[in-house]
Amino acid sequence: MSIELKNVSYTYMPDTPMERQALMGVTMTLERGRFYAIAGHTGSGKSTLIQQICGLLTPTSGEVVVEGVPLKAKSKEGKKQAALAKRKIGLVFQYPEQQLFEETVAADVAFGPRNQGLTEEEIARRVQKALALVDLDYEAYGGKSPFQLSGGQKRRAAIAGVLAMEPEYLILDEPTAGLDPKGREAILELINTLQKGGKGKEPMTIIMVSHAMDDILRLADEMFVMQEGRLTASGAPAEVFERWDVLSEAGLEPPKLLLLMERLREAGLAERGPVRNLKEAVQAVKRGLGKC
Amino acid sequence: MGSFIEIEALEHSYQAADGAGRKALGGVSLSIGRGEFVAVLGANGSGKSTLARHLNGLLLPSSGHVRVEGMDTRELAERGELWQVRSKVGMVFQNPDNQLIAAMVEDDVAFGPENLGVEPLEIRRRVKESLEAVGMTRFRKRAPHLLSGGQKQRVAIAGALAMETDCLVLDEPTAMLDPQGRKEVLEVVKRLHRERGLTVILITHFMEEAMEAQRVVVMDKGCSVMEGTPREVFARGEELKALGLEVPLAGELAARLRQAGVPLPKEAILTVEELLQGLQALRGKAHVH
Repeated sequence: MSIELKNVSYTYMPDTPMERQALMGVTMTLERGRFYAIAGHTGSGKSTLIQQICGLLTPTSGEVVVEGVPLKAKSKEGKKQAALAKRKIGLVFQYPEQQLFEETVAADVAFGPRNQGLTEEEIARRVQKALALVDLDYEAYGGKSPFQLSGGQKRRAAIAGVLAMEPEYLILDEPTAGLDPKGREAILELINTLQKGGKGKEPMTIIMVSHAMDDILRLADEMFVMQEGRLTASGAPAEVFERWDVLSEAGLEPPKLLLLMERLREAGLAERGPVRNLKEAVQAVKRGLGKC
Repeated sequence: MGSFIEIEALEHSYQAADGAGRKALGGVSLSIGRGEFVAVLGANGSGKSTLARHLNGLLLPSSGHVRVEGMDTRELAERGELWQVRSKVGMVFQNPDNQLIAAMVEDDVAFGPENLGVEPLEIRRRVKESLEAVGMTRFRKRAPHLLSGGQKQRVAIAGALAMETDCLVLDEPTAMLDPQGRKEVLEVVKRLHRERGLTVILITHFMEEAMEAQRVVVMDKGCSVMEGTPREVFARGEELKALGLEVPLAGELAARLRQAGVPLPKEAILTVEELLQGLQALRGKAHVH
């Protein structure tokens, strides 16, 4: 079960003076239940890429296949299948809170499910569940205006609106941009919980666009590096971040934690080996000290 | 007179939709010297943006005083003379897409002085100089919406410089930028402070940016709760974390190592160099025993 991009290229405004090729021959597989991160400089094609994955844009050439269903279909039946397949994918845009518009938080979260023509009962169930997932108490916040919430709460309410559609794949475009450290941590915690699943919940596939390399190192199973419309590296973050040449080509800096560890290792104060978070860093230093 | 901006027991309440007041600032006192670089650090909702808006009279005190070069903003407002403050204190806001208005970069920078009725030749001189100061001369004929976020913020800064302000208040100017843009803007701000002696008040929740300032003020729940040099403030890691703020990575790792029983020296560790020294000292001891 996966989403597959096969040699996807995309050109904005073809055959006009504004023509710009935003994606060139991108091939990738996104398997169910994993945490993926997409990194790249502004203008590298990240946003175009995620719009391809969820079928908002159609490739100029190549194809996107969602769990065996090609999104570009000609026949009536094919189109119907494609529409159903697209429903498995939820997209949280950058600054999603700018799109909150209903009078109450609950009504905003209900907008998507209602558009799908679900019963009132089912809509209510979905809204309660989605708000619980993002840790906004239904009783306390459901009836409030979205504009009465704090920045971090607004963003979580907006994410709840996507979760209420019960997607199996969740794409988030820089979900922590503009938030303070506490707000950032709350969003990352939420995303991590969704991906882990558990308590009778299916693990959700996460595809997160991020500029925060330390977050990618800490959370992602696999990362993709985009540069000028091309996919230039992919693999486990710890391995990709070893390739400093690829990173600097793409205009990215290695995670601060890895830079710090490198300094400690050079001084013989930490053991070699992969480090993804502070906990592992402490272990590497303790082992490094133990050796002398 | 020593201080450039004098904030005295400043309180501010916003009127909520239901008519009830919500206190955003609960008695802030702070003085900022001419040519000083102060960072105001705080989580969302701590009152730091409200404070920023008082510094050029966009908001007026519910009680207390804000004086810029001795001029009280509330008194100026009563006399309809807030322009006097606005010409001394320029503001740059968070969203790069909300503050540029003209169709061409140089027109945008000229907008402020034009409105003040400055002579055309003088406007031209100021626009040229301001764009040079932020490194945007090359883009003077461009449409602002085609610029990157960092470039837009630099144009916004140029707009403030063209007003010949003595002081720049930047309200989370990098929050919506990518790492590249963040670096560009911070470099320009540091240079303007260093080379032109501009007074800078940088509102931020990025710890790395606050490290660049001469003094850090930490806000929480509408009050100033910590104040000092970056070293003094960031040495109080646990308190900062409790306020929802970040601490430097080397300091964080040092704290975790201490927790895990590594007997690092008691002195504050904030930089990579200090962590290296601390660990090397430990290794030295291990050799002796």
